Amino acid sequence: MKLKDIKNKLKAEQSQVRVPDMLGRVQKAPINKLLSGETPAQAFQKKLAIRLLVTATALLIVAVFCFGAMMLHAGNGEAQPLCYAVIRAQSETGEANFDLVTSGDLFDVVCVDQSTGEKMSLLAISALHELKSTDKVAIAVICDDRTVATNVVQSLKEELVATYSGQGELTVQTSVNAQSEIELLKQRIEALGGQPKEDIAELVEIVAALI
Amino acid sequence: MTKQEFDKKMLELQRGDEKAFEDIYNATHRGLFAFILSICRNYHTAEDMMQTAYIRLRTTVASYRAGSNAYAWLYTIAKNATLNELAREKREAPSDMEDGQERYGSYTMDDEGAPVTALMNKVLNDNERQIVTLHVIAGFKHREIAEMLDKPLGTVLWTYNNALAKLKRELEKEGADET
Repeated sequence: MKLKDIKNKLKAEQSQVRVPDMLGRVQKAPINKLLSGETPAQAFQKKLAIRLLVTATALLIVAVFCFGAMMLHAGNGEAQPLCYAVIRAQSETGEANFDLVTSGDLFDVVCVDQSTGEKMSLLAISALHELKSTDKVAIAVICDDRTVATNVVQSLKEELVATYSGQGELTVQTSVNAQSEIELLKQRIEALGGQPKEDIAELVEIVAALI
Repeated sequence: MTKQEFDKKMLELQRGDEKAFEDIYNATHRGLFAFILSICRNYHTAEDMMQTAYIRLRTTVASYRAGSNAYAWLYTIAKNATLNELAREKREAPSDMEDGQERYGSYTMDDEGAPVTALMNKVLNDNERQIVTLHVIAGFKHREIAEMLDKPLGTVLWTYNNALAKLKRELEKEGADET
């Protein structure tokens, strides 16, 4: 047998060998996603830069949302105007007057007994617990914002009626920014050593500082 | 595909030309597969190693320099990947297995109807098989094989002639036995 025959036989045999088609597999290999003619290091840096950019963008979006939420919260939580209220409870035994300064929240209220100057919470006023249906109870509210004043007077009335535990129905008279009450407030400020003003908002601020 | 054409395709592949890769693949896959098979003598391992070689070619193409021997590049990648895989297989083989047993044990290529190939696998050593495959099947010149395998041209020529002489002897012996 000639060497040429061996070569030809070998060639013929090898041409019969089924060669697997790897083209598709190689082109679809996941690593190819990283590489487009660049070195792995360059691809890594590019990927890292994209990740950093995405992270920074996400953080920026979160920050914008937080800032927006804070602004919204600040807008909603805008300080309510201060209101002055006086509760007068007249019974057979005498009269009790209480000054209140509130921004509308009855849990955050300064309540002062006019006769003693003692500060207490609204619910701790014993006189209000001992009211009788025959007692004359009046609530007067003075506030620059009439809407807030109306809400405050309504809340106070509801609170008093809820606190009342006596027989019969308790009658509570209410008034908002009544001129007579404004005059009484001016007198109260003078009694406390202050200088009354004409503006309602200023009057409330002065009494809030004095009691 | 000539060496110059392969070089040009490599530069096109560097620029992200997917068609260049297809051309390279179509021109080289048969010879490369035969070469890998001559080293590992296992069809499935050869299949995996061919995939590895082409993936590595793509992932390292950016560092290819114009005028380099692209064939040598690809075949060296394939050879190294295959030898590493064989070394890994050997490391992971059970310790009570005798040296070389795992390679021949995992040899699954069907040589039936291919007596010369079977004989080549039987009588030639790794080095001889690689050189014969590169010359006869992949069609490389001896000078190119010497470059690829980093061996002197004289050594490649001597090994090749010696390998063919061995095959001839064995075939004649088999022919004599049959008669």
